[in-house]
Amino acid sequence: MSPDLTLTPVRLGTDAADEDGQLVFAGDFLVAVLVRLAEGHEAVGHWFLEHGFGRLHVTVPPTFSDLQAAKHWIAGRLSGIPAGGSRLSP
Amino acid sequence: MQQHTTSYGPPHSDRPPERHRLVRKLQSITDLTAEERQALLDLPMTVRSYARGEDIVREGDTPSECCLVLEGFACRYKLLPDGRRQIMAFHTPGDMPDLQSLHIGVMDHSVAAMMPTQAAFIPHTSMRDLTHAYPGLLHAFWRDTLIDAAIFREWLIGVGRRDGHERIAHLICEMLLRFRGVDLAPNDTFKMPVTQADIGDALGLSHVHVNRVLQDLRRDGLITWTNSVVSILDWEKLQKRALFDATYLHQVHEAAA
Repeated sequence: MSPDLTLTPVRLGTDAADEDGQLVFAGDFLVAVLVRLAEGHEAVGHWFLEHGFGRLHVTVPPTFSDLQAAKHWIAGRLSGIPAGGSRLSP
Repeated sequence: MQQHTTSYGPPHSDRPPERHRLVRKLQSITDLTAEERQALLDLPMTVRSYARGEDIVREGDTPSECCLVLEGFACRYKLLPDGRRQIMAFHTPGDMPDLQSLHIGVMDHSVAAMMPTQAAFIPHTSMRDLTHAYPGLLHAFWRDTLIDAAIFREWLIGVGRRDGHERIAHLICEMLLRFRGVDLAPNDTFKMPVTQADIGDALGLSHVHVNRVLQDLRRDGLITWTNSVVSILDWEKLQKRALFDATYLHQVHEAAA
């Protein structure tokens, strides 16, 4: 069962140019913070898992081409089904 | 995996000119006599070339030779079953990344080239003969492995307790002194062909975080890092940012800056 994910835009104080963020909620729970990579990164415009909570806390955080891909990965992790294409923590 | 054996042509097929890096490396951490230096230069070796990313020695191998980095840059790493990689050490010319294979038969990690790299292979039997004939060299190699362990301890502190800026600045400080030790850092500039993902895998950081920190270090005028060439612009400030204390490298001879 896929959890109900909602996104809330937010500005992030990363102390870098990457400040365009999204809080990701599963129901009432904050489960992840995504940030859009600014100029200066190889993957400009892609979304990086700045922080994940619980099952989304991984040692090698992934980057996604768009928010839809991020939501797909997050939903998979929360359902206990690892989404392909990322190196995941056990 | 392609692999080339380089021939330097007789009568010097086993005497590549870069073999002096081993002497230079050991002299950066201990004193050697003229006879010991010559014995190192006379070691038989077979030279092979590797492309970036190619394994030089693999986990599970049971080598009968020790490898010496002649030219290029190498790392020691280990993979978890799902592909996550931890890089545990970087190696400059003059280093023998699998010296341990002389006494520990099975490789418990792999050694890979980080750029086009030439490695010389010295038979274990020759290493044993050498250290029997020259006990001073036995102590030199022992000291080298102890310093290797000291470097691992320092990396452990980095991964466990240093923040991102400190970790990356610390790595740059360490590599400058190690490249200086083998005379490969003229004007505090050295070639370190690693990607941000490589640094992340070595220091336990995301490539995004590595990129942010490198941008900060450049903006603050501490380093430049362009096309794999690292230049230290403000050594004092960089050491401060890294909380760097060079004691753990146990270098005994101040190398030319």
